Amino acid sequence: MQRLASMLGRLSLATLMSAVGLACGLTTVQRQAALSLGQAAVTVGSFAATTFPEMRQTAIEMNTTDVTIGGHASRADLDEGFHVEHIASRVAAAHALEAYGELLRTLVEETQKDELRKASSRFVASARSVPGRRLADAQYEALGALVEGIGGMVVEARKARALERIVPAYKADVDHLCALLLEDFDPRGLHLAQRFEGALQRLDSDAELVLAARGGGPGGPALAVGGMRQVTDGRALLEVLGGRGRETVRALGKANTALDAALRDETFSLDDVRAVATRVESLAAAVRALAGS
Amino acid sequence: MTLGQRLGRTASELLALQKAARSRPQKQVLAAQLQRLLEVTGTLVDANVERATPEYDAASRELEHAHHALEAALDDLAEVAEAIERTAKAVDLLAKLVVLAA
Repeated sequence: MQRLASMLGRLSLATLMSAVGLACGLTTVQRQAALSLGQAAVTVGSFAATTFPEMRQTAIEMNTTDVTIGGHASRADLDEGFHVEHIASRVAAAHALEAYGELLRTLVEETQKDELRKASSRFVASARSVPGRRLADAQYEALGALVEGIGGMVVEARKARALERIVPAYKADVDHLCALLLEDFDPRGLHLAQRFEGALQRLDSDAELVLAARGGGPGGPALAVGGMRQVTDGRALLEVLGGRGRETVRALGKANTALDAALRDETFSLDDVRAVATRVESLAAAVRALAGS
Repeated sequence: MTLGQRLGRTASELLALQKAARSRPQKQVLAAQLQRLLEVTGTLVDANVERATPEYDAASRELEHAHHALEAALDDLAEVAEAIERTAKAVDLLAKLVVLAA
């Protein structure tokens, strides 16, 4: 009898915990904020991770054209300003943002332990690889452990608790990642985009000299016109980076602040959450236009 | 206005003036100035420039003068020589800034 009472007691406790767990899951607004931000972080992170190597490739092509027409680019340093080590650290930062977004989405939508574990592992590994990261390795691992510990009967509550811990703890890193992207996307920011604009202006100037003098050796004018086309494509990319790219990154930062406040039950701007979705769509449209699709 | 913005603006104006210039020698001098400017800009991107220095202020001021001279030359091509001189001064000061940042 005593054993039965004890069993019933445990059952009641489990039922109660389960009910409390479900009740303590994310609110609709918190889910919406986390999903919007997650989607935005995945889009911006993946855009940047693709764009930085593309900028390097385009810069090499522009410099190659410039050398071919007898311009000022250095044939010994065709990837000037875009050396692999410069690009690799930026791609790592972009992947970290993408992994954060994927983790948020997984925490809201997934229930499979494997999916949670995969998202958590990727998040921890990428967060640790960012130059200038804000937390110690052990702290990222502790955040990852929170996600990996999710399971059992109170999944929704544990997912909510994990988000409540991860978003504030990682906020300084997200701000840092956004600041890096804002600098690198700014054609006047003395960072990567300004380097890219420099390569573009050099080719523009040298090609103009060739066309004005009808010089550049055999086939010079034709190569110079090809260079002008590269310059036009490069300017279009810079315009997207400096315009919609930067606007989306700024919106992302604000949405992260809003999610942080929402998870603390503090006042936050729902407009900031909605704005990021609009910006992401606008950036995606510009990227499609650049790709000609 | 930041140094990056001033550098970008000056480079764009030099390029526009090179395209507008009628004589080949002028185009070549303007192109050479632009290449020097782009070179120091590239070095400044890679360097950690200390903003609170007299050299930084002097380079920024001279870039502002160069901007006015380039604007005037874009309006009236007779002013190209003055613009070239002003830009050369600005690039010299930027080169000093690069040395300090290295």
